[in-house]
Amino acid sequence: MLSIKRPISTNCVGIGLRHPHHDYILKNQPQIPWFEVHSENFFCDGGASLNFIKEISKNYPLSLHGVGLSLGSAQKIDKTHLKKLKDLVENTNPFLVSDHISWSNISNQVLNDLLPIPYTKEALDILCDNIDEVQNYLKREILVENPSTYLSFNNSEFAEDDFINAVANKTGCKILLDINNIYVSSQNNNFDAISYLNNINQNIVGEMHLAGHSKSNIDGQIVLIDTHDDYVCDEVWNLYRLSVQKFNVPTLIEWDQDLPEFSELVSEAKKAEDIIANNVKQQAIS
Amino acid sequence: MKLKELQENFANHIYNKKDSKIFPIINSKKISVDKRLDIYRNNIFGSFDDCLEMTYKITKKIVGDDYFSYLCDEYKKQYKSDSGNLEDYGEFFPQLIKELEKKHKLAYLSDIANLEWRFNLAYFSKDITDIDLEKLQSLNEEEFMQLEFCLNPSCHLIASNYPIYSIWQQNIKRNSKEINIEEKKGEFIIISRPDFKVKILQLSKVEFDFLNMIKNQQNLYEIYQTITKKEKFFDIGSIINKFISLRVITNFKTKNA
Repeated sequence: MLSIKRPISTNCVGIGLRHPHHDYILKNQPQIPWFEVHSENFFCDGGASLNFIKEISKNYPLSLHGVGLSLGSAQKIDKTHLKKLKDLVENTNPFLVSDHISWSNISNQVLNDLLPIPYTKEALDILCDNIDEVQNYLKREILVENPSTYLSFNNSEFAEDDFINAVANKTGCKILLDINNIYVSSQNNNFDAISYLNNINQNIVGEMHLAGHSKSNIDGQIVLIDTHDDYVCDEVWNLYRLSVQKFNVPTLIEWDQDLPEFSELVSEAKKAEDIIANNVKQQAIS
Repeated sequence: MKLKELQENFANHIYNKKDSKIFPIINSKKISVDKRLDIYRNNIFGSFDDCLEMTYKITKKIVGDDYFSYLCDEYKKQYKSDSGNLEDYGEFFPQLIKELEKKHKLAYLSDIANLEWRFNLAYFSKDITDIDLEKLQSLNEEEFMQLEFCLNPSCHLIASNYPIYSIWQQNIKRNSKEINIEEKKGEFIIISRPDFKVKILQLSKVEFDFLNMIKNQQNLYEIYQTITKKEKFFDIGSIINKFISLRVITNFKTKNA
């Protein structure tokens, strides 16, 4: 087995790699510290996609980010899905493997979205059992991402930040902290994003995500939708400035729909790099 | 409410808006519960639509946006997703079209959709290694006639009562001539991925039967006997060479293997 390729520095900025940019990357081999792909896009026995990701993993540090494990589901983890993930991990040697704090599978049907879970003790136990099962099966640590939510449950017993701290403490997994998701959920569910950020334990975060969102007017209220189809907004950049003071981890620029030219993603990554560099400078001065 | 019940009630509401058992447990401050749940419903069904549209591009081109949208809505009502990988969604779309189009003039549409689904499967199928020609050539005549050829795992054979190859060709090319479906006979095709690109080839009836018997694990002697009953001048050497060079035949098993 090949050794795992890791980014040169811990706090460098990678880019989410999507199909329309595949040819460009193979042809131009741009200097990007690392790439992240959606695991399920490469759940195949062979062909161009699998060949592509094997090539990428030879040349770049790679992160596999899944959307289909349904870790928060009251039904057991889908073993077929898990086996496909393991095969892909073995084929590509990623330095990070992640999925979400969400659910999609119930009663042998799949609602293919990142659905919210109530922050109850029961849900915490179920989620942690599922994360344990995945980590044991893959024989490695995984990261789980805080969700974007459009509703909250009345029966929740934890605030989301406390729930996330508990998940990491119980399972030893790391948290993929999506800064855009914190902002989106805080606006939709009326909580303070800065307090949330302050309350997340420093040592549990293993990666950060930055993305754009869209706005929708519902019942006369503005709802933020996590569409990943736009530039990172100013409010999220401000939260990111605070985040880099606390978390020294890799950051990813995510853009999934209405993809711009690859150079636009590089520009977004450069903004994040400048914020990190500025923070390093500030810390050196103080 | 236990998590399992909550998730079942959530799923039930996604598929049936009138099912409101999930409502009391969701915060309705400023925005109603059903509007909040609509966001998730739109995301889920939007993903299903995108997935069907990606897989069934030619079907959509043939029927137009509105009718394709109707087909997608019917599919979503009748077939739920059972995989966390959206690439798996849409397998039964050709079957749905077959049922809906029984009485309509687009009777061939189901076969086109079937072609597109299998094209998709071929794209993601296992890679192949080339056939061991040296070993094949070393077999004596008896061993040769007893062997079973193996098809490239990406291969799908389709026999249609409609000119699906011609319809496919017409729709993937720009400015192609209209074809009169009524005047054309049914066609046989093979979908195959010799390298990284999926190809569709039109087959003669004999070629189709030959490959279909290989698929059904008949040995060369049995295949030869069956075909020569109908085709006196069947050149088995040429047909084997053709499909080895096209990387449709990619392996073989001898009797003693």
